[in-house]
Amino acid sequence: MKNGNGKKSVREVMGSEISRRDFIRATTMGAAGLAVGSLSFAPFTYGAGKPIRIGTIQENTVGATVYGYWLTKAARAAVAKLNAEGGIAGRKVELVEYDTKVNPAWASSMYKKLILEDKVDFTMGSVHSGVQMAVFPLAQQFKMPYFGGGAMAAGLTGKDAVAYYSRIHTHARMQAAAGWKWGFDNLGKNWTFLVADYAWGHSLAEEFGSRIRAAGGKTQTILAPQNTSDFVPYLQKVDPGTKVLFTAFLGAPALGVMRQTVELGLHKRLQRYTVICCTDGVGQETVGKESAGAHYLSYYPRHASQVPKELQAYDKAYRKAVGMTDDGKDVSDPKNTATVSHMWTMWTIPYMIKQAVELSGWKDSKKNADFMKAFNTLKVKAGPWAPQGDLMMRANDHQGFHNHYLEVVQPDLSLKVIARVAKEKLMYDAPVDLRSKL
Amino acid sequence: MASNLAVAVLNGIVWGLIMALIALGLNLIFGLLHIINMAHGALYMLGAVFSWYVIELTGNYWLALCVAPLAVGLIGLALERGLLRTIEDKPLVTIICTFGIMLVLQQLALTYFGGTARRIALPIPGRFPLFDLQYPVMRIVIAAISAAVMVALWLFLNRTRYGLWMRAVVQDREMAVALGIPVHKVYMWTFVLGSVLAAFSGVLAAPIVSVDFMMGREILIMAFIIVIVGGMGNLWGSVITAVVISLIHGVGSIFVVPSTATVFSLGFMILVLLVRPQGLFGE
Amino acid sequence: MLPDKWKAAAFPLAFVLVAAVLAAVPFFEDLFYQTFLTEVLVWALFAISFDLIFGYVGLLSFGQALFFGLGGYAVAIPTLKLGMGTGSGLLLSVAVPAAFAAFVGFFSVRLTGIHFVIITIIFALIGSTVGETWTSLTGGADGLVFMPPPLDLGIAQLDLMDIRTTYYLVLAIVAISYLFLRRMVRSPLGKVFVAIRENEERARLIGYDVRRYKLLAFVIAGGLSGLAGGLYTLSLKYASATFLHWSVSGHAVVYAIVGGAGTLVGPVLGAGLIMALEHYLVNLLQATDLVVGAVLVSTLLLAPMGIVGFLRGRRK
Repeated sequence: MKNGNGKKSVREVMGSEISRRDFIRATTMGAAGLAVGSLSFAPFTYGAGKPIRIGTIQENTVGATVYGYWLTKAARAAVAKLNAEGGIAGRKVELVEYDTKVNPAWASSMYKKLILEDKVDFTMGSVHSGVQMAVFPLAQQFKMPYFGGGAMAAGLTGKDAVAYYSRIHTHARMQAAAGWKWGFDNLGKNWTFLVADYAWGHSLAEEFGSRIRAAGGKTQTILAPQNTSDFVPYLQKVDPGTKVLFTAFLGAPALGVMRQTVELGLHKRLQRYTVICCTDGVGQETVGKESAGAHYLSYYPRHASQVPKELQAYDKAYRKAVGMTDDGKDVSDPKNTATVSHMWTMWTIPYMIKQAVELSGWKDSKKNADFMKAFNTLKVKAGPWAPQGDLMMRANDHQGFHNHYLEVVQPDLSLKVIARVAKEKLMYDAPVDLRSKL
Repeated sequence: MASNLAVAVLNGIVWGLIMALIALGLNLIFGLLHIINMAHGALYMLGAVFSWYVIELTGNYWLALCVAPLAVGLIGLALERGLLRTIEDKPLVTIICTFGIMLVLQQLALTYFGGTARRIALPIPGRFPLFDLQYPVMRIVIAAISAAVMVALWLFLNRTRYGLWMRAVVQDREMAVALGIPVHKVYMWTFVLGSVLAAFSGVLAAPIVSVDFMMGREILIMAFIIVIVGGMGNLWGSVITAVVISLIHGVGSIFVVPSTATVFSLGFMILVLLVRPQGLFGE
Repeated sequence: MLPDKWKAAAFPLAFVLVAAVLAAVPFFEDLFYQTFLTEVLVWALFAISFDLIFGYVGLLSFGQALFFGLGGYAVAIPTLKLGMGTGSGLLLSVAVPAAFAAFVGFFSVRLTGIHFVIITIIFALIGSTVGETWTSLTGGADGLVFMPPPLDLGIAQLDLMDIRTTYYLVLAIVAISYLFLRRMVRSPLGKVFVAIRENEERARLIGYDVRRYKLLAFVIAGGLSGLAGGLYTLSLKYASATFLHWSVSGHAVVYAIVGGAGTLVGPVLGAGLIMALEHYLVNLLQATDLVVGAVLVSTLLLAPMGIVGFLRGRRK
């Protein structure tokens, strides 16, 4: 399963619906190129044309550092693999990286720098909704294809979506569609939402809560400031009849709420449920032994052993390429936990760019519209480039669909997958039709 | 309801005592040097960060509680001697200067400690029942330590020569100089003491909250509020205010949405500033 | 006589020259410098509006972010939710923050020194708390995205999706604002401002209603901060509650101090230099705040009057 194994690479590429064309391109590009790919030290000669540049913006400082670190790592690994396999349309691929500082104003400056100074061809990255919202009108203004890395605001592919933005991963509404039913059936019908008094917290409480209520359940919502350090005043408000405590906080407060729930002894009388976004990239030993028994909605199993059988071979190669152990840690630093549920986007998107370039015959920005059309009709089959399983893009709202998982924290603090939600169950009516806008 | 109220009251007192320590450091520096130290929150954060490193190395929380504040005290010493001394008589300039120092300290913590929150295990893990909820023993211990430190501070100010000097400088600087009190030395040690108090409360809070390089930013504003409402320069006003505000916040958040509570408490602050700028407990 | 005449001609000459160079940028450079300079100009406007109250009246306000953020929403919300035009949005981005500044100022100018600093921070905190939690109106920390309709000037329609047009619009508005402020600080009104800064007690004894003058300066500064926020939002097509946070005021403080407070030209220079520094540093190290903080602290210690003050001091 090594990246460079030329024969395998070609077969791997075949996984998708457009495999035939891909296959022809790959072979005509020259067996030489593919063979040399396995010798990473050997100079690689590419076909004609200047390199294709992919710009990324990531949260490398402030608050979400661990996201930036891992998403960048995945992006670099993907670009290395693409280059080892002959680049995109015979052209070498380069990555240009900037930090967003988790600051929409700063991120938009860096985004303009990417487009205008570094002259990148495609852009991707960031897990922060505010950052993506700030960047998203620029993508439209410059007709620059932009692919989100993990931001969950439903509105990014909602009714005000723009044609040059695509999101291959889940968002708040899809999370609720994937996660409410399982929780309702298995954990309890009486829910309390303790969420950040913040756009993201509001939307999770609303999306999950409305579904629970519609199904005849009871809900209570407690809002706490996103920067809350002491949750005791809020936790004591939890209704005595509550069966499910759903929490949504980011960074330090996410650890605080988990710990303090246990400190007050609430874990004995209710089930704890949250989305993995709260502590993705935080080792469970850091979240603490208090997290044992908590349920997470996730988008990729943290441990290799929990990956569905049919995906395990792809998962193994992917983990190796990005430098992640079977337990979701950094190969070179066992204290550094990967943002396993988010970073796969940066691994898969470069490959989807390649497919869309080859499908649309993209050469430069003149064909960006055709490129976006091609990208948003892709159906990527599970494979080395899609270790998370099948992925389907919807052309109407440029939204991708993939499987979700439910994981529960074991007493030894590993995450065990107890259910898998198929992407077909997550379909909803597209809120917008972007097909006419390209 | 009884358990809610009991937890709210108990927790209000615990947090109030921690906040009081932070505010005392800020107020001490203000009362004597007339510096509004915008970097105070960053010093609190550094205390917590240093304690995390000490605990990583030795596994001993109590050692961290001694070592980390001293290390931050050294930083305070360097800041006062190296930067603030020359501008001490210009309050507005010191605000801007300490704002710059805050940026630098936060960025340094981010660069070396990293942007991810980390946690410190509770050194005393037990819980005790409180009606139908439970309450961690450690928080009571933390509150007791805060109270003990405040008593020690009181003794220091009232029973030692340095304390006497400090009070003399606050009352009448010129007279203090005339009496041969080494005013600059008093300034220096006061700033160090304030820094140590900030760091100490950072270490105390670390097992309750998580350690994060941004943890000082919101605390700073809370500390400002306490110092102003209690009266700038009035140390015991700060202590009372810290506990009362924390109690009101704790009990109040049973009934209202926290952002509403925040807006109202900020509005109350404005009122105090306008009606009694010397603070509720000021003369 | 000649030197005085020269002196009188120096500013118009320099101003025209700088404006001409800036106006020529789009003809020589590619789009990058236009977008970068657009940003610099917007922040420079924010910094000179702060300079009016800090540099001339002596009031250190950490609350200007409130007006900056409000200016942004005053453009974004009417165009997005009420279908209003960009022109009225821009007018609102002055009027709404100025109205808020009148309210905030009414209370704040009663205080001086540190109390004034704190009360402005508190007002800004109320603003950002409301902004972050009232998500249905403001979009909270995620913000609001909008596409500004063309600006109807009667004689021409300005397409604000076009970078060059936006650049010229921002350049013109910032240049006019600069001239307006320069005219003001050199007028008798400006002299009163400086008198208040130098010695409030004396100004009061001479018979000036100090509070009214302070309030006037605060409202003008608030309106111009709002205009800066409005232009920023127009160039980004994005408004956010994060712009309301008091720490955003730190930008204006840093630019004004480093460039030289109380000079108007200083904050413009400060904005340009610091932003250029950040822009080039970001390729070398990520910790740009470290450098900004260090530059701020060392300016305060080594050249307390900022770059402009330092240069003027040397010339004398």
